[in-house]
Amino acid sequence: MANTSLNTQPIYTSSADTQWIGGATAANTTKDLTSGTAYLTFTASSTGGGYVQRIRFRALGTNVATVARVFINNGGATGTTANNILWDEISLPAVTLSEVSALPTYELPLNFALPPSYRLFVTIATVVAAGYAITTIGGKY
Amino acid sequence: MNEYYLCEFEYGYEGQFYQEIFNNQVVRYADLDGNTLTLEGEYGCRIINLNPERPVWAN
Repeated sequence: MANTSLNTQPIYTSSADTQWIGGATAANTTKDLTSGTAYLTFTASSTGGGYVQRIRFRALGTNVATVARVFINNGGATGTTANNILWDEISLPAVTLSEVSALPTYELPLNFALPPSYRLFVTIATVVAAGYAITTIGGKY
Repeated sequence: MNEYYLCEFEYGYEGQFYQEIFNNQVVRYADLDGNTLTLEGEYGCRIINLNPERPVWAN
C-alpha cells in the first residue's frame, strides 16, 4: 500500500545562506577527517537544516598544485570516523598571482540538502603559500 | 631555481621539513639536512616560514 504521507512537493529554502573561510593553507591528507587542520565551510541551520548548491575555491595568490577534499560531517566530533564522510575532491592546479589577468576559479557542484547542524569541511593536500578562499553557496530551510 | 617552504607536521610525523618547489609544483619533501622524505599514510602540516634562509644543501 502506498505511503500517502510522503512529501511530494519540492521545498525551497527560506533564506540564503552563504558561508566561507579565507586563507586555507595547511595541508592534511586525512581521508576520514579525524586528524589535522580542516576548514569548516558550511554549517546547516540547527532548526530546519540547509541546502548547499555549490562550493568555490578561489586562490588568494600564488599557490602550488594541491587537491581539495570536501567532507560531510553529521554535527558530531570530527575526531570520530563515523561522523564524517569524504564527499568529493577537486584538483587545484598551481597558480601564479597576476595583476593583469584573473586567476581561475574552481567549483564543485553540491546540490543536496543537509540535515540540521550537519557541516561541510574542506582539507587541502599540500601546503600552499597564499591559500584559498572557500565559499559555499546555499540556503536555510 | 627551487623555492623552499619551511613546514612542520601537525600529525603523522614529528619535526620540521622543507617543501621543495619548482615552477609552482611540489618537487619533493626534504628533511632539514636535504634528505628526501618519503611520506606514507596520512599526515598534516603547515607552513612555518614562506621564505626561509636558503638551505645550504640547496642547489
